[in-house]
Amino acid sequence: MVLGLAGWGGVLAYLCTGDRLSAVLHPSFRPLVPVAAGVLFLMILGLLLFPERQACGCCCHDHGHDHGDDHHDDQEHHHGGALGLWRLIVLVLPVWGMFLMRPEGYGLETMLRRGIMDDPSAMDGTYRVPNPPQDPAAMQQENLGGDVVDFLDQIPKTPDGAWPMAVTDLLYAMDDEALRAKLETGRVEVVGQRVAADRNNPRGNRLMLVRMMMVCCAADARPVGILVEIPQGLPPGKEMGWLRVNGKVAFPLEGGKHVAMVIADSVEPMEPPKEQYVY
Amino acid sequence: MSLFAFYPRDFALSFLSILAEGLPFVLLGTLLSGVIDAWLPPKVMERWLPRNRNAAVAVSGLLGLVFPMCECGIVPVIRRLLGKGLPLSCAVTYMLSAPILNPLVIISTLAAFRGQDPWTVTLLRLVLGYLVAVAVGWVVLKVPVEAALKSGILKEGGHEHGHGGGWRDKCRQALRTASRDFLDVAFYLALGAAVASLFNTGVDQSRIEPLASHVFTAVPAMMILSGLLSLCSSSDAFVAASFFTFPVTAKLAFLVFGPMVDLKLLFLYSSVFRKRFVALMVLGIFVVVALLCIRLGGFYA
Repeated sequence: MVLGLAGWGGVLAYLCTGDRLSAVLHPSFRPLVPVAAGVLFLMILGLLLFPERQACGCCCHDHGHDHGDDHHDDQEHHHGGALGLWRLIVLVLPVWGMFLMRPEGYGLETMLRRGIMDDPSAMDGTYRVPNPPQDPAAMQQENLGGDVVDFLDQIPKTPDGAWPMAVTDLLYAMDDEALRAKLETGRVEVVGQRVAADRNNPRGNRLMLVRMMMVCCAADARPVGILVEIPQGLPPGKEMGWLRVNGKVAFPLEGGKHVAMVIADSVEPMEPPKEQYVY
Repeated sequence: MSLFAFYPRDFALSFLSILAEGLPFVLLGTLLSGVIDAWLPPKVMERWLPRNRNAAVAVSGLLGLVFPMCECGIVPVIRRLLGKGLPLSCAVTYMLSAPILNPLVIISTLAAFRGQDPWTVTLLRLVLGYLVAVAVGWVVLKVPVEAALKSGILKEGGHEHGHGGGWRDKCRQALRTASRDFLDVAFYLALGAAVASLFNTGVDQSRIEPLASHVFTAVPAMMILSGLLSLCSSSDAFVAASFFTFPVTAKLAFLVFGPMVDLKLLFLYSSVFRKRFVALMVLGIFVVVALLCIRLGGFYA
């Protein structure tokens, strides 16, 4: 039992090291992992300091659990038998997983299999401020229109005068006429991962800029993306590489609906941000 | 793109994320189960519920609003409550309804469906979840306990420790019960998370889009997807809302079926219930949810 708890405590503790937690969990769930690891180690301490009491002479069981005949068919009372061994062997899975895990996030194939969302009606309706410091600041929207548009003027712009925006900000703006109009008057800077645009790309000079949007954990993360049109043609670079795009925003009507697009003035490769997800 | 493919590194990422998110709640559930085992007197549950068994099942369906618990944590709690005299039918009803009739899930569903008639969707999710859980509980009333539960489950909480049982002994008992339950449930969670991650990262989810066109295909397709993805009930609403080509009743089926039955839960349920009972329960829930949602599709049409 102590060994099993130590194994799971070790797995949780190891997940807390490096960038592993930020690769797998929403920020609001992250504190629970080291707490859980701490509780497991406290439980181990308790088991060692207060071992199972010896069976008393008057009956065949002790206060910890019953060793009487009627409990031998209870497979939940494992004392290191075959079932107990399996509970240790299963720890191989998370340990193996931790060596294999890709801290930089999902690969292209998995992203495509989940389907890139480029329509705000398919997203969580709550407009929230992304909390990672490296990500561009966004706006908090209580109602449509005026408040958000005014707030845009208060966001500190980049040195070259662009509003720092997240991919999700531009997608949400698709549904807000006033916000669209305001954004189209200025320039934006957006970061994301490069993915080929296999639709809405008549001249072949567009790519998708994608971020993984997480609600609780990496298992539910789904890709959200906007189009980037590069008038000079696509720059060299590989899929899933991180890009910083600076340009004008447009929301043209294509296929009967508005699409979110940045007409790029500059597209620069960049290092992956500390927080690879948007929330 | 093939229907299924295996990407080990992405599998590992999804697998570890499910564990990292689920294990703290499993630990919470097992700590609670330890407390229940050590301090809750046997048979007290029967005194708290209505004497009429049908009414007791109906009340059990609402317990999640008062004692919320996610689907990972509820299994060890149920296990101990069964040992303390909670009727099997009430336990099953609480187990199925708690992940849906849960304040956090209500809030997340409202948020996820903003702009898509959120109050209607949320209310329907709650009502359908409650009705299905209670219906299953009423059916389980007819099932012999030994046909449903693994041997020894009822004995776990029933024995009295009559040799003093002071505060220290109770703490020791709670600690040992919690430790055992944690190792048990973590084992099944790991297996379930592994299988769920295989599908979560390997299935081409766009393949189900053509099934959205008709409610008879859309509803079962979304139910199967929710079972394969094994998302927690506080985040599944966001995923369901993203399938905007699917009718709302198919998304409802996703939201009601998934918290009750998924790959991860199948393994967790196996720690308490016999495999045959689990299989029949899953089949029953699938049929009932599908029929209700398809029928509801007719009203929407």
